[in-house]
Amino acid sequence: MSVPLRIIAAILALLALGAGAYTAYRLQSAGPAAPDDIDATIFNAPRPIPGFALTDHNGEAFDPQRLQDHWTLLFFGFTHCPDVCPTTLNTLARSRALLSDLPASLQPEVVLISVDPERDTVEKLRDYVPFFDPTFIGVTGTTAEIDALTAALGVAHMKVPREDGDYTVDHSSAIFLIDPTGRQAALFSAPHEAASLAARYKATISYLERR
Amino acid sequence: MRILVWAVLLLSACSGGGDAVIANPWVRAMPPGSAMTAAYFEFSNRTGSDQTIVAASSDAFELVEIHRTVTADGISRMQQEDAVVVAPGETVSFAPQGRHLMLMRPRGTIQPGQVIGFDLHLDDGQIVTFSAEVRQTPK
Repeated sequence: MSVPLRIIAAILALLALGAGAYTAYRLQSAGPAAPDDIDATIFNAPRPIPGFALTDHNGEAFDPQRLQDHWTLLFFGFTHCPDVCPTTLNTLARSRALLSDLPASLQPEVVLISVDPERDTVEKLRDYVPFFDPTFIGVTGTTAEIDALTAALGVAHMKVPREDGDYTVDHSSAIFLIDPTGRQAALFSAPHEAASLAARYKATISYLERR
Repeated sequence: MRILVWAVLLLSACSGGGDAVIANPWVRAMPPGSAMTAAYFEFSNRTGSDQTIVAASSDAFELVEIHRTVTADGISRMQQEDAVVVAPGETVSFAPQGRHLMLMRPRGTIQPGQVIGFDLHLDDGQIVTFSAEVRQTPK
């Protein structure tokens, strides 16, 4: 190899090195955002949910299969709830409208699971849940099935008697994000507000889709 | 009809007490057949001394209670409040996920657009009245 050719080869090698370093740098800076930047609890490893057999507000079976192939926002509540549950359902309805610009495959299905299965029958949920958004799904089941699922997800709920013989239910106010393989991927803590919940959802699934 | 609407709007903007002002009142519209809902508003004390709300009532509901939603350690609880003290010149908000009037056992169908009257009972015997429209979200 002549001297000029050697110089050209050296320059080319340097250029290749530089391009490689630049690509590596770009890849790194375009990598997933640190979860610290996202206002959500994102599990390092998505948590599988043990099997369950519940019923939706149309009387159809609601089992792990129903959490497959789409993102799900799962919320626990009850219909004899004057403030938190309807507020959260309204917030979820407005958030879902704000997410309508996402591709259909990334739009969440919203599911309310009752922590008061004694009073929340299929018929009661059919009257209640679609009122907030016709796409929302209400789910109930036997007390044992609801207790098993809430225990697996770490959802606290306690029946609290009222003086008049009635009762109310204290419960976790977090909204759970279930990934398209039906695993618990993240959770959003209260308070919930429509615009910020939509932003938190987008940031979280965008991070999880890239991870 | 127009006069009636204006009367209702004026009623909802002013209180009956004279020295307390109720602003932005609304009742949450609920699905048909619901056993309960909530009323929200802002209460401003325009007097020179404390005003203490000790009870609330409405012809449209059998039972009205003052409650507060408290969220701690990720769990939402409802606490009944026996008294809400509003200092002179102060405004106390009754708002979603916070303090609210819990409205139980409606006496009839509660529908969006309906205007419902409320009485707030103060500890000195004064009654502050206001009307609130049934809506899905605040104005």
